[in-house]
Amino acid sequence: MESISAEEIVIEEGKSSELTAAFQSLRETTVNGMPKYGQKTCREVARVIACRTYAPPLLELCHLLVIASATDQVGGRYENFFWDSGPARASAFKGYLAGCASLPDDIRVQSSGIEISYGTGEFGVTFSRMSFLSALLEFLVTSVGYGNFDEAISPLLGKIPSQKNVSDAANTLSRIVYDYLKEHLPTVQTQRKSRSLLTFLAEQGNGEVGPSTLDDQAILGYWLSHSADEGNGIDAKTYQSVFLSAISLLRVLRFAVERYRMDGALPIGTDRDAGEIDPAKIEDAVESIDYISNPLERLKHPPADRIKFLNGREMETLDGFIYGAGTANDLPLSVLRNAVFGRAQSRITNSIRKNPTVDETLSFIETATDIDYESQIDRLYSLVEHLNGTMLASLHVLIHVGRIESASIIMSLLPGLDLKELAEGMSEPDWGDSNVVSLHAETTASRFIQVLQRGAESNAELQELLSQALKAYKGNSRQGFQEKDLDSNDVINGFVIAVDALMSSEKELKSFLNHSIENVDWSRQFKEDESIFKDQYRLLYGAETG
Amino acid sequence: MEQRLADQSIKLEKQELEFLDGVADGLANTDMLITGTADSNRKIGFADLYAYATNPHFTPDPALVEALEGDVQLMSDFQRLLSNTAVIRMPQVAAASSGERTYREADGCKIVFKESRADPAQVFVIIELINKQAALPMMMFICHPDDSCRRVILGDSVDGRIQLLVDRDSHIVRGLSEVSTEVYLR
Repeated sequence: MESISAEEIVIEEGKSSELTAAFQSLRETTVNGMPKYGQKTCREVARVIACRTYAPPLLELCHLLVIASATDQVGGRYENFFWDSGPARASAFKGYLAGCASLPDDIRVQSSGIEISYGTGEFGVTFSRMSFLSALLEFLVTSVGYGNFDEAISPLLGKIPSQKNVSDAANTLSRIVYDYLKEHLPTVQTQRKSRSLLTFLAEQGNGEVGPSTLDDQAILGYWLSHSADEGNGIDAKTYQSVFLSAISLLRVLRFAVERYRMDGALPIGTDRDAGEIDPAKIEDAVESIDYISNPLERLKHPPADRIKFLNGREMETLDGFIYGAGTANDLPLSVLRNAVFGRAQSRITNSIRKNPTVDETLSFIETATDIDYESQIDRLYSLVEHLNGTMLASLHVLIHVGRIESASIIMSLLPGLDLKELAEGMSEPDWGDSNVVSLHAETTASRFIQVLQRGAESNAELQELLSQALKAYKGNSRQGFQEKDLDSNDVINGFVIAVDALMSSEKELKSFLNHSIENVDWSRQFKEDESIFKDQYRLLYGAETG
Repeated sequence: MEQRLADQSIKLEKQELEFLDGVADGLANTDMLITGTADSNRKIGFADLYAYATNPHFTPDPALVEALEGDVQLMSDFQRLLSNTAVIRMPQVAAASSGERTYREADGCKIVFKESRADPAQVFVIIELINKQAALPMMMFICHPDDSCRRVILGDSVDGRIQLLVDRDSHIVRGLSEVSTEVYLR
């Protein structure tokens, strides 16, 4: 069996990391201290690039570039329109255009967008669409380079061009993007892994597929039968990559079953008989599959990252179990296999970069697994306890600074709490006038906080919770939990932002431990899996025994 | 009783299987692009490049300054951006000239050096616009044939002239004296 070379690993990683870096840069672009592009907008750009349906948006962008150029009456440049107009929001573009002294007669500003007349036809771009097109432009000049981009669209600047010029420039841009993605979007080989995973499932189920057919056994079976295949793409070699593909495929299968239930067919395109699949339909489907954001991401970025809610090891452990939508509950053994053996394989992969001898590799394979399932599960129980303590300490902070977000934590920690008594204690005069509703709501919130700050004497259960919160706060010596930290608005905002992330992570982890872990002999399961995984590692890394 | 969505399965035709393959690929790639972080290969965003070229109050990340001295594509892009957005461009001096010069000029602008009487090791760099009504530049970029560029923030004007007092062997004097450099004012 052919073993994986260090060079192959580096080449594959390099390909996707260039594109990933360009998107990271897009997401992190700020203007006046705030994100220039919204999360939804960035995801939309990622989707048209990933599904390779960028040609129609590039044509739209070219029309918008003609408009942008017309706003600069001196130089006919487009840069000011996109980079001097503030955050990429519809209102910002509308405001920028309103501030332009005059535009050529061929360009007309309407209430919802802008229209351009070419003589041979008209084209309109709405203000709301400009955010997406602006983000697409930012991605293009960051990835393919400003020089390449600027040269391709230069015929569009200055005098209003013909519609053919616009279409030609869009085609040139499409070719540039095509060439760039050929180099940087994961290869067909890599993409083949999800294809063969689905085909594998269909074969296993005699053509029948669904969320329930993608189970722990199927994922392991696929990895064992495909990871060592020559020419099947390097990514199928790691259990982790197969596992992540399986999670993605699970969402696709949920979508497919739902569509079948609604429409009796999948929306593959307009010409089924000709065997054509419309890429736009694929993109539509990807759009309709909800993005599951990882709540832990919020803890990793400002301002929440100013507070040490989780240390590196805790974050790493938790990261391996938070997949949203009950995924970990549906694939409990795969999640554990990934956390234990996926990590071990990653260590082996790192070690072979140093070109060890066969004996050294064999020896490393023996010791690469540093934790068993039972210890991993114990670690998760400890994490639940830690998350609980952190939520309590955060509750104390939020009450101390008078933030109503503390109520969410109270409801999460004491879901059965009877707030009726508390509400009675906060009875207010009859305002009578509906104009004071918002003031009324605000007053209720501030009175609620006052009750909490006084220790909620009227409710023993809540009183006990507040006492635990104080104890948890005093017992937490990590960064962000000191008295002096609470003077910083940034730190307080960090707590406010982190509350939901902490609660949803704790809920998901508890659900996993309560529903998926009990009644399994994990010691026996680990021994069985350890033998299977080690055999496969030996096979994969050119160090077969026997 | 209705079957749970998670327990349902469907029989797929070849085309439908291919369609779902495409959806799975598209979804996996979208997720990868939107959640991935590049540890060592941080890309300089164009917004930062633009701000560095156009906003004298923008403080660049050290990574941007470093990249502008070594990343060939970024350096070339930056020089093109300067050329597209600068108010005044002073091209390389004609091929017949050689060595060093004590002044530069272009349409609408003149830069001259004047030795400091107080300290011969220092030189006044005086930037003067021909059109006295025109807005005075706030930044100067000195770009070398290898596409490396240095930014100089200009001070306030005195009598329509901007004056910098710099060391005779500073990169500013050396860059402006060199016939092969291009100078952009904005």
